Amino acid sequence: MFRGLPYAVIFILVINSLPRYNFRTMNTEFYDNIFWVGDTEQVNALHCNPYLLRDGDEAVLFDPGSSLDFEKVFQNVTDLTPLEKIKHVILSHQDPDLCSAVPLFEQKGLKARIACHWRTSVIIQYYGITSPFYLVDQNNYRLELESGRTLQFIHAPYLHFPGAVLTYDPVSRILFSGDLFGGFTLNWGLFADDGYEEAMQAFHESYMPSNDILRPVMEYLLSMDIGTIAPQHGSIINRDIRKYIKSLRDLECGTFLSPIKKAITSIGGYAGLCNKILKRYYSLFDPEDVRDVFTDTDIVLDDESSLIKDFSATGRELWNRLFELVYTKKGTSWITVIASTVEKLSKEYDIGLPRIFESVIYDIEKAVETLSDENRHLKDLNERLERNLQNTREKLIKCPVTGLYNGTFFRQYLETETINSFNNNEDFAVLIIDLDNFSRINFNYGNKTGDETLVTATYIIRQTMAETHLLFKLEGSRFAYYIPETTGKDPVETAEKIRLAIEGSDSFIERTTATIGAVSASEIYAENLSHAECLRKIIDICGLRVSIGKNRGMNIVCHSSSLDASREDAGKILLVDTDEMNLDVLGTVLKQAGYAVFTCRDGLNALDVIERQNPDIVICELMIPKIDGLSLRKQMLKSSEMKNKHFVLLSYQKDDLSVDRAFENDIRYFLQKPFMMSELLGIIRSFSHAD
Amino acid sequence: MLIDFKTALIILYVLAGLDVVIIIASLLNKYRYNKRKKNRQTMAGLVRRYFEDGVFPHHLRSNKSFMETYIRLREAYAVDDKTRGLVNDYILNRGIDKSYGKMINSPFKSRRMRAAVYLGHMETDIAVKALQDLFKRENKYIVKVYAANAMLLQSNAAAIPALVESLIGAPSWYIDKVRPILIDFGKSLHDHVPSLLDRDETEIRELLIGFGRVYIARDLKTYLLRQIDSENPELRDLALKALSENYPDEIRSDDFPVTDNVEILKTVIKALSNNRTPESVNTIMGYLQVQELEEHVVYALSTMARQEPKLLKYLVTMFRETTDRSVHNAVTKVLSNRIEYFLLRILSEEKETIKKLVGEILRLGGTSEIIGFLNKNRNPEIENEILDTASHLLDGDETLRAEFSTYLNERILKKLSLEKSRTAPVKREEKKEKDKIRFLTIILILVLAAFPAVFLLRRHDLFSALSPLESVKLFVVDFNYLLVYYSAAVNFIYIIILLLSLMGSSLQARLWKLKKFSFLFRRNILPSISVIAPAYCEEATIIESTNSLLNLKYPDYELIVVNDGSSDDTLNTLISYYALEKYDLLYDRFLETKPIRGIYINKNIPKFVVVDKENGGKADSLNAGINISRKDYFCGIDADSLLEPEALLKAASTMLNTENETVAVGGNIFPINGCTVERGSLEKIALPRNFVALAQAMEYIRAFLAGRIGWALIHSLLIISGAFGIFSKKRIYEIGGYLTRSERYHRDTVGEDMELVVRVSRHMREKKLKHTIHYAFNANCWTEVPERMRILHRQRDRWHRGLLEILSFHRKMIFNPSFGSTGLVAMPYFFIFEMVGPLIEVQGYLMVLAAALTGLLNPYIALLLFISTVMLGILISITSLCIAEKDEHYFSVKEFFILLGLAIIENVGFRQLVSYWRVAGYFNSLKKPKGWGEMVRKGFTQK
Repeated sequence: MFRGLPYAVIFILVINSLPRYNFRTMNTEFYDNIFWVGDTEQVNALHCNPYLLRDGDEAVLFDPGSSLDFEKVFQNVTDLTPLEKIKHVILSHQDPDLCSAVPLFEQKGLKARIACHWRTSVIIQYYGITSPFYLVDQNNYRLELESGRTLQFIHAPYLHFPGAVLTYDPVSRILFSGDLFGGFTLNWGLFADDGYEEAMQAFHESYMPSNDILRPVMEYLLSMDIGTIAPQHGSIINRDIRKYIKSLRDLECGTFLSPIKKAITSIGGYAGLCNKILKRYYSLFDPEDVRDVFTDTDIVLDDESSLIKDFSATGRELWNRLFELVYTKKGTSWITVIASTVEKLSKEYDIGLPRIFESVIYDIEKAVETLSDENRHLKDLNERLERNLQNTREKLIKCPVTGLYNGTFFRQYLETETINSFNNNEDFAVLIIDLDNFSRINFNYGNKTGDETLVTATYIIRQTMAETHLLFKLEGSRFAYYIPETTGKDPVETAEKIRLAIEGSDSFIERTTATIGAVSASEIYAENLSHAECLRKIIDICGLRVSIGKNRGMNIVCHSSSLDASREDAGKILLVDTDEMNLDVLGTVLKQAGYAVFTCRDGLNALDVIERQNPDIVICELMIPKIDGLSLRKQMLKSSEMKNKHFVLLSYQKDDLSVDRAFENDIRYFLQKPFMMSELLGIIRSFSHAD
Repeated sequence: MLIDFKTALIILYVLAGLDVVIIIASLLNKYRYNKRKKNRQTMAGLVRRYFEDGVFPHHLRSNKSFMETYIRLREAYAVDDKTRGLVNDYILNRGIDKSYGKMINSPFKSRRMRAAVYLGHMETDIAVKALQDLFKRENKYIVKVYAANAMLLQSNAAAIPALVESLIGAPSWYIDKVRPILIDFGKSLHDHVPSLLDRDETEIRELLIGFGRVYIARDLKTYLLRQIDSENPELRDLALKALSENYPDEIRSDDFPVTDNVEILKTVIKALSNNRTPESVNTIMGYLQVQELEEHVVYALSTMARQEPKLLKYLVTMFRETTDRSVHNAVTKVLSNRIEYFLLRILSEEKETIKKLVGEILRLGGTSEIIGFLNKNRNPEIENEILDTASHLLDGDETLRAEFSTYLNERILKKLSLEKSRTAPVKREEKKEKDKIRFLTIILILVLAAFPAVFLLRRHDLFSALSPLESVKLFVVDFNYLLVYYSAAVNFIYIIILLLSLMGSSLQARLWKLKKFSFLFRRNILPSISVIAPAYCEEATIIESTNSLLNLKYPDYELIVVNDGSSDDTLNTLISYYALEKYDLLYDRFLETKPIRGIYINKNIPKFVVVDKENGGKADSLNAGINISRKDYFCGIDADSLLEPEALLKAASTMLNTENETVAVGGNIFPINGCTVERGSLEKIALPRNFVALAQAMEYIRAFLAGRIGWALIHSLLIISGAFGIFSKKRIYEIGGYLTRSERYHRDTVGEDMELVVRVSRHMREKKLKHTIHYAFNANCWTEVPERMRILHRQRDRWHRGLLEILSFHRKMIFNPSFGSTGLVAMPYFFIFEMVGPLIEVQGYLMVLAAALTGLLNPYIALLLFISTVMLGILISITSLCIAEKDEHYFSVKEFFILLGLAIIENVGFRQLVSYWRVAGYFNSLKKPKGWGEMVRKGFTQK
């Protein structure tokens, strides 16, 4: 009840009603021709940071702000550059605190393109923005200015909006990070100081969905050369960049938080826990104010460390007492600002929320009812947004077993998601993954193990999955896998990776394999169909290919529908051996029998020939240079095209170990040298009959 | 004066003439080589025609080439009865069988071997009888092995009784080779079984049990059952093994004798595990009462659960409910083999059980898989559940903490509030060895004083007549003569060795031709070998060389790469390239080494093991590798070297040349600089472009190809390069492995490769055991040699210090007749010419220089010096090159001439430099120890 957008709204409102401080004006050019253009007067806990970048005859405005501080920001901007020079406005995401000023700028005559992710564009239209959009996701996540200076965008999905982007300017090495790296700062300064890390964590604990989503983006940022981070809230970070990134990478946060349970004694009992809260307060507010809360109470603070030294209450009582004191002396704002942290700690140490929290929340919710008109405007706006999201969410039905979105959602998702790609003739791909022995497992071990198998498959596919790909659960043992923005062989490679991961996993009850059908949109585009028809066809063909794969013996990736594609080249044989005489003799005999014969003297070369010449039969010595015979077979099994080729192993070395490994690698014929020519020829003939 | 000026001139011309003759002979040989190559092609053509026409071509030039072609055919393809009949008729008509039949009386072992191999492919009465005669009369067991194999080829059932009887009282290596040959007779041997059933000799019983393992028959089954009560535990275990493989029901049945013998119970457990039911599980669990059986129970149950996953459920229930501690532990270990299956279930309703299981597994030390899983896993919920369980255990368990800190990635460690541990490479301090320094000092003083002393004694009567200046002049001149004598002596010895090498290599080449692949790949003919490659900071070349070592042609070998605590990414490069996983392998610690940090394998490459250990030097890494190896012999390899695919086979096959136990085999080393390598395979052989490396190429040819095989021939080989040498594991265990600080002698050496050979031969001599150290002249290992003078200097300095260490450590052997030829020839040679020699040589050079500067050097002395040092040196180099090129074809004609040029110019300058380095090395040995010094690797040239 405490999460999500409503809470954020309440929070902003409450924060806005806090007393304002006066700040000295400061030089706001923090890099050559890059300016902070925010409002120094309009200061609250969630401080907004618009930025301006001047580049030759052009200027770019980042996250211009809300309607509340528009006048000041406009003044600052026009002091630095004439309005017509602003050619681009970059919006990191859809929130009102950075977008609602845009229509006002437009009224003043702004003629710029709005650069943002398409998902952002869909929603911010509701602010009444009329400027044209520059969708970064369709422009390679780049924006080139006239001077040639190129701004790069980094997609940070669900941090905290699906279309959130970060902007990186390679010239200044500044990262305009949007909400990421923001902080709650009542004690604001333009540049981050020692307490900022705590403030930043507090902010992220409130807004970011989970470490799972945060971590990969932070890992990526760690690989970049960043000199300064300019977030949209809080302070500019200009030193120890990596420390801050790592701090967020390792931050546990969000609704799905299931922290490792710790014993409360490990932190020093309730007193230790309360001190943790106090430290957080010191970083957020004026320390004098914080100390003030406890004057003349039964909680005594240490003069030096300002932490709890003595207290009359014990254990849980202290925990409750602390927040009661804060609440009576400072009101709701001091409670809400710490709420996420308290909730996290309560979970972590397995103790209940402090008493006051229940009643305060009730009060806050009531307070919302009686908001001022000025604020109601914002609230309505947000409720509209919320309804929008809610509407979509109702349609989402999840698979109860795997927790994945289901087939219905998959089809709807494709419809909305691919329309842009379709219009621009851009490629995307769909895979349908079917577990081959699902029904067998169900039958042998029962439904519960069957469900288990689906969960395991989900886990394994996710382990291999790229950030931008999506997984859905269809009916039965089938999964759908969506790959946006593909090129050429990508989908097949992805599918092979999934197939091998499933085949190689030890996490199933027994060895399990998958058959995968793959379709790229570009295969269909040529047929001039409508978007809906096109999608239906993609799904149909994909299903068909799964069936073809099943018929071909399962555990295969099928990406073409024609059944007899491999038939054309019947009669090609590849010989791999280092024994020149054998190559010569066997080659001649086979040629006489009417086969086309290729010869190789090492495994690497053989692999290359198999790929290029597509022989039907490979006759191979075990001991060959570079890649030995068994490893060559193993490589072949990794590709659906090569895995069904007939394979005969010939060698002087035939012992228990090599025979075992041959069977493991699906080699049915292993002849020991000296071998009988007639036997080999018979085997080869039997292959032709089988086909 | 020995000779007058004129004679000296004549000698000079003769030597020059000899050089020219040898070069011409070598060029002719090269031409013949190409012709032989063409011959081989015709042979392939003939075989091909056989398959085209169905008739084997008769009209061949000679009986020998007919037989060679026919054997070549049969090596590759099974020949039908009709062709064999026709060929036998032809053999009979031409009398081929008769002529080879005579060869069995030859006094030369190698000729009798050849007779055996050739006769094996003939099935005429004469041939059959000749072979039988050979086998009966032969007193060399090694020839008997060849004959036995030949009789099997003839399917000569009549030979079986003689073969069987030959086992009795024979050396064990002979029995091990002939037993599989006998067993391969199959039905014919079975026909002979009744007469053997009541025989009591161990050899016969071993044979029958071995036969029972592969041949299913009622009488053999009864025989196996009877052997269970055998008083000989080895035979009993063999019989049990055979029974459990072929007749598991017998062992499971109630009639099977109740016993408390652990070895028998192990087999019973194994037999029970073939029956995969819960009842069977319970029965097997019952054996947990015997403590030694725990490992086997766990193994049996794990196999059962893997083959029948339904049992997992039963085992999980057992895990939850049992109160018996030993059952609980055993079930935990069994379930830990399917840990990846269970970890994914940690979010299901079985959560509590699985968390408990994870806790138990960690408690019992099975951390590798869990750490591996955590490092790969991307699901935070699963991660948190596992960490929750682990965090409770961390407080009390130091080893677990250490394991986690070393192997878990940083992000997860932070969650557990642990620090990543980084092991800094330990600096080794090398202590001065007082007795070595004393020995070296005494020798140095003696050498320096010897010549002046002799001079004083010989010339004391002249002193009165000469002024001091003239005495000094006389001394200088005398010393110049000494250098002449010395050089002549050294080179004379070289020439003898060279001639021996020529003999040795042609014998070896002949024998190699007799060893057919089908013979070498027969069971037990060659010993199993563990190839051990220590690697220290070999990031650049490790993948290349590992690939080359994984693709060797050899019947039974494994590869162990030992990462010696590298400070670079050697280990991770291996792990990611070969997708290795950490593995809890059990091994014996026969040799003390620095601690092993982890063992890594890839289940798909069963013959490949990577060992990660703390830094302790090359010898220590080799010892660690020996501990882990599972084969009978091991082969030490430099990780920056490439073996030719057949090198191991050729080297090990020298063991089939003599009767004695082989304790060590060395191989050739060539510089790889200049060659093209792709994926660990030598694509093109070429001479190094760099001059320093090129000069070494000539040196290597002289030392390896033309030197060592001669030494081996007179049982005096003491140097086997660390880059490629095979050793008997049993003997190396006995002597305590390579010399390291951790092992029994508590000392290091920088010449660990030579030291090991010296020590093992000393050991064998002390125990009066017959043994052989072989040198394979055609088994090649290609290694990177220094291309910069500074590095080369350091390498040579190290080599020389190593040599001095060994000579001082084993000084007891020098001139000691109880060590045979090693004590009387090899060790004195090293002492005089390698240790003392350079001291004299460099003094000599200085005196020559002094003589030249003062005008004392007359043309006569100069000529003698030129002949004894330069001319003889050139002769030796050129002959070495020709021996190298005699049977193999390494270099093109152009390269051959480059090497010839080098053979001439290296005698002026380069050799003297090397001598100077040696003297410097001598003095360095007296100073503070320096260790290995750096070697800069540039990696192999990629195509």
